[in-house]
Amino acid sequence: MLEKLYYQDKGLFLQSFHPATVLLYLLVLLVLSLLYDHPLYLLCLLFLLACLVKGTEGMAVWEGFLKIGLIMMLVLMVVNPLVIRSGATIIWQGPVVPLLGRLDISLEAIYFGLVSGLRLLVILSIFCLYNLMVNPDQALNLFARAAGKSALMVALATRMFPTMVRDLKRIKEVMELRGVDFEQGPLGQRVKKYAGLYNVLLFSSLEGSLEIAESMQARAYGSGRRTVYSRHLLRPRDYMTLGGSLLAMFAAVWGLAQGCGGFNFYPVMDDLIAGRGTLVVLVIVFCYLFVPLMLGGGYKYCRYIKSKI
Amino acid sequence: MTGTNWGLYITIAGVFFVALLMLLMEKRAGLGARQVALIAILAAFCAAGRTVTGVALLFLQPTMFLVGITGFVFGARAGFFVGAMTPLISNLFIGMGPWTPWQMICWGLVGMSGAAVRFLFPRAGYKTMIIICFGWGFLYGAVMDLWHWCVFTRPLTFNGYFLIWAAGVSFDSLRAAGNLLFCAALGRQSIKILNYFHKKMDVRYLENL
Repeated sequence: MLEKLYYQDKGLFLQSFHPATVLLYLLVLLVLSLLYDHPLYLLCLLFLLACLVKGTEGMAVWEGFLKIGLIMMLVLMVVNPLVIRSGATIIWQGPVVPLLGRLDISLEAIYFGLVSGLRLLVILSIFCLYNLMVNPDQALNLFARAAGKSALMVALATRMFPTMVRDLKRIKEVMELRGVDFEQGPLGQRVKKYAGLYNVLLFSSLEGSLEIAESMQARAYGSGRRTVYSRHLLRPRDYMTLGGSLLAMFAAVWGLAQGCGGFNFYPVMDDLIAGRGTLVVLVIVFCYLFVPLMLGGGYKYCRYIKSKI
Repeated sequence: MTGTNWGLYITIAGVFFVALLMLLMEKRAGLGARQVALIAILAAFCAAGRTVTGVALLFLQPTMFLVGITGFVFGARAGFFVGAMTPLISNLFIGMGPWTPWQMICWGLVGMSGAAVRFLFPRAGYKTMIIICFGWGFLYGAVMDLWHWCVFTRPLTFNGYFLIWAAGVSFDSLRAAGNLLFCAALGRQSIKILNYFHKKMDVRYLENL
């Protein structure tokens, strides 16, 4: 499990975007998920994310994220009604508890818990998608110009991480062959054995770091100004997705200013669909957000579009 | 109160804050090849510790104390970098999330607190670090609960924060206990080893040789 990165390159269309494009697109999704309170909008976001996850063949990964999300959602749904007093429709009057006051459970608070749980699922899915769509090396490359040394350190550490796990196993095996039995003896002795293992690993990896430093120096690290280049080009698909996400953001902000997409929970909930405006804005925003999926469809089924993007 | 979206602001502020801190530290630290390699290796070591044992032993991780000790031996900047990179790297393998920026800030502060201990009490040893790490076990949970509270509860009331904190306090105490035990068992040797490398790293070139 720790031998490889979370990200897997499957050669899919959705993985072929420029990292900056994907980052902006996901940022727009994240901002929208935090701006919107309307359950319908959040459900549509979840649907969009499900389509995207399916497009990146990550359903199995997504399931793991959803499981964590559902557990956290349950916690939210329990905590929220217990602490919020703003709801008007009381469905259960509880006893008085010190520190918390009277435990009245209102319908609105339960709904709010439900919606914030939904938002949690959306946010988790966005990050799941990030893990599926963005190659961490390429994302790091974006920051190499601004913060070269930080990017280099992160890249080095990421590369050393699996080595470290492998070294741990190797050293443990060597020690076992020399007669150290990690499973035997009282707790104090076992801790001592593991402490020995830890010391050897720390010492040998720090020795290794000095060797890395020497080889970096031999390759002229720090001898002058750093040069930066990027092999990734912005292609038409990137421009279209960038445009789509910016337009979606504008449409969403304009809609929110007009009162579409907001939702009042307290003291009494709004109607789910307050007017035609809510639906119109919803359709417009999601048309823009579906651009990468539409491009993906075109790439798959239409040779002309494939040649152009 | 319901209208203001604190969850959005605090998450985005976290991203910018941690990016700015890293950038500033990098510009001011003047990192040479040795420092870069050492920080990277220590971060990988901590991340490996966090991932490997984090899964098996729940919250008992031999990691937070090492970040603190790194700050204690190598100074605030190295401590911050190792701390901030630990969750970043381990999350590359166990999954990134909106919690990453705030985790990076917290872990970075752990490293810097180690340096602060060294600055305030130059004669302090690993016993002081045990206390600091034990405290950080709880403080880390409290700060992460703050993020959780801002993003997922509304209206923001103290009671809501208290309940979320109370829901996580058992994990926090496990983490604090883990820090305490690991620092007590491994702290002294770690400080010794890191001190040895600190001396070894400190190379001064002679002019006109």
